Amino acid sequence: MRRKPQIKISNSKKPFNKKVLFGILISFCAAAQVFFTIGTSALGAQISSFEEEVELLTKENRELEDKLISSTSLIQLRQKAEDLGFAKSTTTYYIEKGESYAMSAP
Amino acid sequence: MLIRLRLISIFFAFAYLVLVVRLFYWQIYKGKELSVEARGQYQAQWSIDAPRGDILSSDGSWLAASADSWLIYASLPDIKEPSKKISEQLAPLLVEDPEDKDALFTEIDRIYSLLTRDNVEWIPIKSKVTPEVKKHIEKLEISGIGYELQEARIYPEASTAAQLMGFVGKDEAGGDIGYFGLEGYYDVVLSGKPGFKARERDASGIPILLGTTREISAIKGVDLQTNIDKFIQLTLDKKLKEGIERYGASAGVAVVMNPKNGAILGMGAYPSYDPSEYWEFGDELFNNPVISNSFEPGSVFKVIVMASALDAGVVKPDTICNICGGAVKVDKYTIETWNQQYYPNSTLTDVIVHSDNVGMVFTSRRIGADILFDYLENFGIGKPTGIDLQGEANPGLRDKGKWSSVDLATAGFGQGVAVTPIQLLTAVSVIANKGVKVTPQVVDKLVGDGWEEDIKPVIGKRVISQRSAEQITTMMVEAAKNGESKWTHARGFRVAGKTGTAQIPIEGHYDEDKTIASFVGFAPYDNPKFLMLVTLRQPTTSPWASETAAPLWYSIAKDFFEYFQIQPEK
Repeated sequence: MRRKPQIKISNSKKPFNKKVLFGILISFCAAAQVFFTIGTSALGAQISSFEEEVELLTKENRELEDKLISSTSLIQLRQKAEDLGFAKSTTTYYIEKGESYAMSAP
Repeated sequence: MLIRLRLISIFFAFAYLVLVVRLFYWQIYKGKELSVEARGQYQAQWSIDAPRGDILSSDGSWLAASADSWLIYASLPDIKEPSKKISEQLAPLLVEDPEDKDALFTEIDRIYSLLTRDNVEWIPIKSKVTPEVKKHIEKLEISGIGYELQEARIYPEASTAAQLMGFVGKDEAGGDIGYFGLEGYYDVVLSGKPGFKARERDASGIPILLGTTREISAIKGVDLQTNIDKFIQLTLDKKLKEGIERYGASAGVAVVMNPKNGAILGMGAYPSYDPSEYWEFGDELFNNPVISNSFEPGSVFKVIVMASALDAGVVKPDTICNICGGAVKVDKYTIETWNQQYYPNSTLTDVIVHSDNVGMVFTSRRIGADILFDYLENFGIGKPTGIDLQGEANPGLRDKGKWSSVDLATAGFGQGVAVTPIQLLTAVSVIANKGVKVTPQVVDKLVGDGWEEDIKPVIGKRVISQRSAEQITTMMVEAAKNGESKWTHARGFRVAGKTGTAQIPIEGHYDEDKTIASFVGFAPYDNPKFLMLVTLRQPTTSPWASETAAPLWYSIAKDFFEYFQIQPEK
């Protein structure tokens, strides 16, 4: 009985190393974790500085509003007008339509 | 060897047991407590303040607003300078007038006693300190003195409309709460809802975004936009104060309403108080006399009784009063006119013009007690008006069916019937509004962040016909032109008005000298822009309304004629 000649196939490529790939993946994840953690901590600092800024602006806003409130006080305006020498007219003249002011005034 | 091994095994077993017990202690028994302590180290939580809503006038400017103020405190372990020196530095900044030596020394002593207290570490020195004062204190750079932000209520128009505004005080838990007036009535709406924030932080206080964060936003209180017109309000306050001084009255009120929709345009009362420093004043000033004090209205009430009689069809303006020739006897009482002058066979228009008590007895007899009672109820007498202010009183009417002939007769000229000024004004607004009742209303709209809600005027039912309203208006016009107050009438202006002088009942009798003088009127009578009631308590220059309340009414009205651009007829 003749035996079939055996053909040997040789693989020139090295076998796929799963362990190395797993190691790379883990290293990548660890690096990403470190990177994002640093990034997030920096964001925390940024948020903190934004919050401080908001607080400052809110405070300034309140101060401006306080000034606006006191400057729209009619009592204070009247007092200021009096201090500046303005006086309310005590007599009112009513004139007919078409009548000139000079004619109405005594 | 075996013994050694056994001993070591026992030792390890024991050590393991101790470890388990210890772990149980820390993890289970003390676990919660330690967890809270740990959380306290990395988790910060604080409440977010919700500012109280503002109270605005009709033009959107402020009548009451929230502002920042500061609590000045001392951290005693951090204080380095002598307490006496700190007291002397702080006191001049914390007293109202540093020139007032008594107040200054009292303040120095007060601060010194606080700073030298035993067994305390933190002590409040003064609350509600303004930002300006805080800045001055900061400049002193006193170690151990700190500041805590507080909310203060400011009233930019000072004591103007104080009783209308009310004030913000403290509740039992030390929280802010509104009392009296608008602050009291709308307290729930004005009070915001405080928020809450909890967040993990690192050692330097920077937030850890990967940690847990919980936040409930604060909701600011709603703003109230009122119908109060600042010009009208300030004019009322100024002129009322002047009037009280001029006529030597002990107190007074003045209220202005738009009779077409019930909008309260101004409400003044004197004596008054400063709502931002309410604790400096007596409790008796906190009640708003316009809504809380009742009085017998006197002759101003005649227009209500006459309007009822006209509408009931029992009399006409030209009906002849056949008992007006002299005093009239009712039961055991004799009813006279206010000046003992009598006008036989006068018409009912004359009765109003002369403010004739006998003529009103005639009128009230014509209408009868039961029908009059129904009309008075419809006018709103004996019922709260429903005004949106805290503290409205209701003196009430005598029960229907229980009126004697004397009660009926005296009610005709406003005696034996008690009303509050706002009830009287609301009743007269029926006449000014052509017979239809309106509910007095101070707030026009609620304004929140990005939304607003109109509070629509409450137009009630028709109380009297338009014709009856016009008839009584004409009578009031005649009374203003030719009545006792004609000397002060603003000539040419279309005013409908009526005076009223009510004696004050004291210990079962009416005091001749102590009176409440009133004038109620509206202008222009055919298309009223305003309705105003002025009342003076115990005027001393004259007891009569025609010589006190009426001239004050016209003095205020003259400013309103210009403001509302009301021209004289000729």
